[in-house]
Amino acid sequence: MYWDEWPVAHPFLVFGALKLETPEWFETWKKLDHSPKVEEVLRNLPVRNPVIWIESQ
Amino acid sequence: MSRIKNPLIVPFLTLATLFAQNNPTPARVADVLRAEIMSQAAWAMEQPPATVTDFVCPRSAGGKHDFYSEGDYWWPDPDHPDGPYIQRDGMTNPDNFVAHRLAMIRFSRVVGSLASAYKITGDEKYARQAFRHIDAWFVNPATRMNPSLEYAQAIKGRATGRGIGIIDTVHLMEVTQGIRVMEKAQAADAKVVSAAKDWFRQYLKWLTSHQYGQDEMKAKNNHGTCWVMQVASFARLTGDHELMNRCRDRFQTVLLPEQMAADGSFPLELRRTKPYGYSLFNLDAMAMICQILSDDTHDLWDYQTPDGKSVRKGISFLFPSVAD
Repeated sequence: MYWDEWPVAHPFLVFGALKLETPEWFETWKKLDHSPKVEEVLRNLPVRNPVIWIESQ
Repeated sequence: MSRIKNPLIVPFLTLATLFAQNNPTPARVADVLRAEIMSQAAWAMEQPPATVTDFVCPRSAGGKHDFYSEGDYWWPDPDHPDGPYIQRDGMTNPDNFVAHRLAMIRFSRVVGSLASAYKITGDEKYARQAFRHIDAWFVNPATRMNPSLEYAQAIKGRATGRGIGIIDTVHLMEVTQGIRVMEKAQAADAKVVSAAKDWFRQYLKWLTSHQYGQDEMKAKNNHGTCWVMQVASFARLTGDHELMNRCRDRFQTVLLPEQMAADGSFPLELRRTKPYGYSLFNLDAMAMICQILSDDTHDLWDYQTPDGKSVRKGISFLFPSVAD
């Protein structure tokens, strides 16, 4: 496991912000890396496409 | 505004409007990601399928259709070059076979980005390309993967596979969610959709009955969380409501109570050499469990244990270090 490039745009920030109505978490999520390219970072980030997990859009 | 008699109402309305503008919404999430989604989807449109059958490792005890990976921190023994591997904690062996894991991550990226692009544009070409890959991995007899993970995280001379290797298939989650997003597309092949669901039914049967699956479910740290997360995701695709309920129960009665401390931290992850990374990883997995398993009648996001542990508390604990 490999964590040097963290944090990235974590799912807990965006989904937590939507469900628990916390704009501060959303603003932080917006500024983080949405498409890391390092293989080991990708390995630890199985959810990379938030829009497919949001049911109503 | 001239109709409002009380001047105090005006600043209140202004504040309410500002708050509404800052409130996160699905549309704002899509706006942030739109350019990146289109760029990733353009990449995915160019990718031919590549599955486990494209890469063979002579050290695997399984067959051509079996996923294979090796224990990260295990190395040849200098005193016994042909003997069992020995452990060097924290040091990844660069000669390990990783081709199947990389192929699965690539598959996940392809389907995830095509499903995103399909969702925001409605263009059938993205779904058509995604189902080529889904057919290759789950349906085509020449290239499909077997629906089990008996040969993951193997250690030469010690184990042909281990339960902890099951964590590798978290990368099938965006595949299952992509199928859900695209299964009603005109470009979706109903036979492929049906066969892919059968594949996940068989894999769920293996995950819930094989000893390795049992071992991973009972793991006390992020491995136990990831078992629930992926089983929940696969069970939602196959419509297995009983298994989804088992996952909800496990989140509420095992994962939150046993892994989270009263302050929202994860003490079992803090014992690791890189506690920050493992804690973020575990929190992502818990948030995904809430995202997958919450619906009109179940709300895991707002669930808290009798002593006050919740995902909100976990996020609040780690948020300052992420925002920093």
